Amino acid sequence: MGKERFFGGNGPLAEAVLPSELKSAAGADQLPRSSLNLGWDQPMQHDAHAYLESDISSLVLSPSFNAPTGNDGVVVRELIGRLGSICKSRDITPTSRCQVARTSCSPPMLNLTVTDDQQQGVPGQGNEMAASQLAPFAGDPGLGETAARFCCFGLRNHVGIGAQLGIAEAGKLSRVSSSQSLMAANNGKGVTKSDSTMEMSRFGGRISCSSSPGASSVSDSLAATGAESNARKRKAAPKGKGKISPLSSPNMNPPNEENSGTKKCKLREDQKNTAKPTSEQNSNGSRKLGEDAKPLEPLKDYIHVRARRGQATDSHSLAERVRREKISERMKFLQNLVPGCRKVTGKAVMLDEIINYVQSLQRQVEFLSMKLATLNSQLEFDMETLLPKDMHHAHVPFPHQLYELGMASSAFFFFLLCQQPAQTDSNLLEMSLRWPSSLQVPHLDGFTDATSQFVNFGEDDLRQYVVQMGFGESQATEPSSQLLYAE
Amino acid sequence: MDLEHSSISKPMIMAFHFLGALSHIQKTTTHSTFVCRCHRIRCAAYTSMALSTGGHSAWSRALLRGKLRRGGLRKRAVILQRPRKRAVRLEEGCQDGADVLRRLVPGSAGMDSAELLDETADYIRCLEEQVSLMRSIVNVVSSL
Repeated sequence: MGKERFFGGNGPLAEAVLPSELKSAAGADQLPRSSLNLGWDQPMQHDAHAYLESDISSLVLSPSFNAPTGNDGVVVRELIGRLGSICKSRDITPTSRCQVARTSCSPPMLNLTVTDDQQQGVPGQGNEMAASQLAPFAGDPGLGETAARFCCFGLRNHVGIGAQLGIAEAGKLSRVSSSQSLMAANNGKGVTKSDSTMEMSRFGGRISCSSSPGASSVSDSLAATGAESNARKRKAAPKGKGKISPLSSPNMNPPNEENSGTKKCKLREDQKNTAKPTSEQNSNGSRKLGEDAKPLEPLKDYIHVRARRGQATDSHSLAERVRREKISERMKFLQNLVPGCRKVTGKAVMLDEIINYVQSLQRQVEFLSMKLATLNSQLEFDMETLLPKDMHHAHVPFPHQLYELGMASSAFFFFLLCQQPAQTDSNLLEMSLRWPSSLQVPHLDGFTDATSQFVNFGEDDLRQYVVQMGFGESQATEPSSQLLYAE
Repeated sequence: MDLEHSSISKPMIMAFHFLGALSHIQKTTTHSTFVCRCHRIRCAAYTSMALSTGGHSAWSRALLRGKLRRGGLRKRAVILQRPRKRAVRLEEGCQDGADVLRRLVPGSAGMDSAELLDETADYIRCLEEQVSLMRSIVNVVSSL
């Protein structure tokens, strides 16, 4: 679906927290949404907090925002949607997001009135206009704030009002926020995920701080349900853990004294199996461990993991640890690659250094290409004559073979490229072979047969294959290079 | 079958492509502007860089994919779009503050941090080779 593709690409949601009433109200939904999409490219340039300011300013000041329809409702909707998408697309903690959203909500609200003025061409009525527009939606100007706060929570998955919102856990929250009429229904539904319950309580707390009466009534009921379900979830989770720990603790204490530095605990099986379950039990050879196995029979989906001393054995943190180790080993490798980074410690600083280095390399490429452009224009000189006597490289193969290899490799790698997305279409073969147009069609069969072998071809294998297939008409380089380098 | 002698190293492939491109550009752009030629040379540099890796890394594939689209095969371009199921992985591993890096390295948008660092290492290596190649070409040509 188009929407899924859009979500998967960048993340911003045009219709993040759109109340269902508003949606049904206006028929011209597609146009404002598309304008939102188009305006999204610019905020990607900025950094951390600057994101929000720039996004909001772009939100407010972008002409496309106001242009499509004269309906203020659409404007408000877009505003809310944009705020939601801003909150979603940035990696900030919920609390800070909400704080920023709270502070930033008021300027957009004010600016909204100003833009209304401009749009309507009637000065001085802006505030009343905005208020009157907002009134049917939520009955208070705090809707924007609350809506923005809604978006702040848990905006990772894509579930929504009538399958149109992009908030999973907070989907039900936003439904609650949309209208007071829907409140009762959604309170009955409750919230099933613990994340959302915690956030609901937080949200409820925030709402109760706001001054608007309507929102506070919403918030009170929200907070009540949120707190209840939250408390329920919180009790349930420790209960589950508590149940297991008394079972294991009497058994674990003696082994702990025996095996200092190891800790045993039961984990859910859904994470990766870094465990050495029964082998560890047997190797310890302790009776207590055997007794452990029996009460654990009913809890079959738990696996035993030997954890290092002083480290948590939660499945999540184990996965986290593995991931962190992977990343740190790669960072070490990169440290060797980037000059002058041996003494740098810390991921953030290292990342900055890497980014700087990549940027500097790219700039160098640009600069050198400019230099080459000037040289190209000045000299009447064919660069290809450089090939056999290029002093940069040590050994020089036959140029004839090089041509073969080069031309075949270009076609070849394009073909590989076509293979990678796993689209084995015969049209792809034709396409990849069209460029070296002097190649004859019989070679096509060779490609189709040997495709599976091609993935791990090294250069020497490639060259052998090339020689076998009898490629290597040097004039074939012309069309291929044209296609490769044409603009 | 002396493979050692006949093995052609990656920089040679890069050099071949790049020089071929340069000569092609030289022949065909006598009338175009400096900026246009700059741009074409830069594109040629990146293309030869991507080709020299042999399609092992995602950034090279992404670069070549981009060039393919430019080369007038627009209707086929839709076949080469990255399968969208990778987008699901965006959520877990990407909260790393490495989005600037993702923007710099082509084709690294849908990766988690570990793969991103791999791609970056490969990209840096190739960039270094390309820069040294271009520098040597400039030296040779300007000293003539």
